[in-house]
Amino acid sequence: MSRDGLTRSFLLLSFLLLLGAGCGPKSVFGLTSDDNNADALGKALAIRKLPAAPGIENATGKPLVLAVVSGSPRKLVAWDAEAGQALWTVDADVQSRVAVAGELVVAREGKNVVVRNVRDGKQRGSISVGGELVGHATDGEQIYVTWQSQGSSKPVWTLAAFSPDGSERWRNDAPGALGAPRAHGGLVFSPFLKQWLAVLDAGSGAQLTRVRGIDEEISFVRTASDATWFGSKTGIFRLDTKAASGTRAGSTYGTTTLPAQLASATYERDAFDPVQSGYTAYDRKRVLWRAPATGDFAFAGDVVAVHFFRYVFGMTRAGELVWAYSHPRVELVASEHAGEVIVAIGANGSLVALDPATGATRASSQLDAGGQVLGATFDCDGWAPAGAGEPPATVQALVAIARDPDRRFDEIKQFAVATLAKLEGSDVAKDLLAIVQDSRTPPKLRDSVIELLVARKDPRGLPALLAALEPRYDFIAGVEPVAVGVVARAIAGLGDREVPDTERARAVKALVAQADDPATPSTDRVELVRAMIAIGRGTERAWVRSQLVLERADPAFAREERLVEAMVTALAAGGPEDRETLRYVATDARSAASVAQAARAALASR
Amino acid sequence: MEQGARKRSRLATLAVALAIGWVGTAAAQPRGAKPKKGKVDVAAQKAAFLGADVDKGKAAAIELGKTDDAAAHALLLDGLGTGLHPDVAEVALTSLAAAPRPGDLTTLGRYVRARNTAVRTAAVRALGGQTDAGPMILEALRDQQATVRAAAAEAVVARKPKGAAEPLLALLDKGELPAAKALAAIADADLARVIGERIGTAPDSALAVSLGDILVRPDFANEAAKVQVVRTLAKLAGPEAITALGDYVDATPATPVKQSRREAEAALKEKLGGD
Repeated sequence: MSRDGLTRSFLLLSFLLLLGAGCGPKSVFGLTSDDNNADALGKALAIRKLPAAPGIENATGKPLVLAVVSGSPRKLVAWDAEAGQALWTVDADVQSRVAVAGELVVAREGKNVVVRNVRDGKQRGSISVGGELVGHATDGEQIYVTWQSQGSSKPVWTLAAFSPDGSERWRNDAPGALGAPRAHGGLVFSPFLKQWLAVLDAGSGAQLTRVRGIDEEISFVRTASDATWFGSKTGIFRLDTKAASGTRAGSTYGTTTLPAQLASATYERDAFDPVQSGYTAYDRKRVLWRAPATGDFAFAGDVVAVHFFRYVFGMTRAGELVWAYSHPRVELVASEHAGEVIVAIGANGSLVALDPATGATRASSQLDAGGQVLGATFDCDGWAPAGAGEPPATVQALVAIARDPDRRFDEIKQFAVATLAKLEGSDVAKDLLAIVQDSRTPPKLRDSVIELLVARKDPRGLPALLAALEPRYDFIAGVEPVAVGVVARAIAGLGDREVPDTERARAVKALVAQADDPATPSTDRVELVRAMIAIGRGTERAWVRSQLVLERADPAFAREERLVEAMVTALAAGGPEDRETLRYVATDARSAASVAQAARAALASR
Repeated sequence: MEQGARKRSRLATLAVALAIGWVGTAAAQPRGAKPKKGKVDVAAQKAAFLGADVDKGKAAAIELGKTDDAAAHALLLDGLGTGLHPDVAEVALTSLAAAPRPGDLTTLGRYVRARNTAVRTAAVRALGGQTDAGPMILEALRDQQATVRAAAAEAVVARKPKGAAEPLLALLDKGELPAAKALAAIADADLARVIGERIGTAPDSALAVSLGDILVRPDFANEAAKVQVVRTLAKLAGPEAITALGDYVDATPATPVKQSRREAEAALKEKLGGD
């Protein structure tokens, strides 16, 4: 948020607080309290109880996936990712995300927030929510629920703590929007008006301190087993004493540059969006990241992953692709960076654990509860599957993305082909060509691939380009070469590159064969001739001379002005024999007038 | 067979031939005919042949084809080698084919790839006069243009290159009548059997034309093979099969008695409703 925006928010908040002054319930959220106080923040964080190392937070000690499965009724499945089997499955009308910690599993079921036992799924308590659920959390001791309701004259946001049996421990009302809370080690974190992150004592609900965002809004808070983070779509702040600066520069802050096609992926769900209190399509477009709990900011392994529907991309902080994973057949509906692995689950219940550095599948299992997985919460921090796995075939994954017929992925296809084009090698050229030659490729994507193919100028792709010129028009076999003009343009692009003479000769031969084919369309033929001129280094001129002489009297040839221009220009730049041919064409009575004129002009230009 | 039925069958044959343009095309071919001996003033034709006026160039090309004078032939090759208007080139290629010489193949090899279809057709047709033109003829059978493929089929008849049966059978399956006729022209007993086995694969009309042409070939004397051909024709639907059977009965004397003729008569009777 800009400074102007923050100022406007400040004034609005002031107005709201004045309206709400003296209206009953305890309110710890307000303008007047202290914020960005490093000393207070330090003291608050000092009482936080953190594990010595990142680890699983539920009491079973097993890496769990809490999956919501479609059906009537829906099912809640606690899936042991390590064992590859269900710990328990219960019928539960889950309508929200699932929170898990300690002995507790918490989710909204129907209209109430229901507390279950993590070991067997049995219900322990139920909490009646007095309004629209914004979000909930648990630290294994208590349950923290935020909702919005309508007061006598204005909306009210409430954050309340409950014991596992559903009895209320404390409650704070706020005159402005509260985001979904998180709780961790005796502290509760609540975003407020997208400007503050309030830090509350879990036992009493008292506000210990709060951080005010100066450079950015605060639209999410996230707790891992070892640290707490907050931030916005723009970047991530670690909640340490430096966060009290409220600025990027003064904080432990990190961000990454994503390609435009992936820019809609977010670091965390928007805590203020009630829709995102449940599992939604936002869970399928996420930046998966991990950073150390102490020291300077760095993404673990210098890699972030972007989950985009069926795909996961490993990327550098600068947005360069490291690896690409394509999930078989179905979309991944949920994902999480668990430190050692990225855990993700498909709509069909297929669970994978990917190595963040390489994308290799280190573990997989199949959850089958008789329906589609609608969403899932992971408690897998520190889970390190024994399997090493093979890194994914990134090129094949990118090709699969580019050729995916699903029109929703058009933007990501652009990203895939743009990334492919940056890779070198004959296979890449072959794959790009296959996309061009595939009649199902959307026109816009095809045009992009053509431009990338032409622009990449990788000599190692020449064999694939020449192979694409091998098919010949054949009425009996029903064969028609595809994208010959594109291939020719790509070959022309190699004219000024380091290409052995033998390869150049092969290229000229292949180009001549296509140019000689009477079935080759004129639009392709001109590109073929331009390509042989570009790559031939003069060896093509014998063919050009012969063809120019043979066709110069043909009115149809004369109408192909670009072709004529290319041929006469090439000969004008050639040797004595070439120019003699031009003089002959320029003066002989049989030459079509425009061809003779072009020959004269070319000669004059030298 | 009654006279009326024979008239009907001949009319049907003529209609088919006209529909495919075969009669007109075939009539225009040199078919290996010797050029007329005549005196042509080559020097006088040269200016017109190599000039800018297309009509004069065509007329000169026709004249140059009326002699077997080596100078006229050389002039045709010279003009073709240095580029002619397509209308002139087409005529020049036809004139060249009237007195084929082995050295022509290089020039023809360039023109069988001409972008102008009429020019390319003339060049392919001229391959029929060239001993070593087999590969070019086979390639031309795969051309995208029907007229070129038809010219190649004619050239197959003239040269009978090895390997022609397979592409011709593929064209037969596509219903191409020039290919059907070319197959008939080159078929021995084995190939006739293979053609007959295309029943259900190739269109009945094309198959009937091919099998009918085989039956009336004077040099196709294998009676057992003829009986099989007649039996296949008897299974085919459409007027072309009736025409083929009728033509065979017409062309074959009643005595000595041949089983193939007897079965053809019976098949005709069956197809014409027992008249």
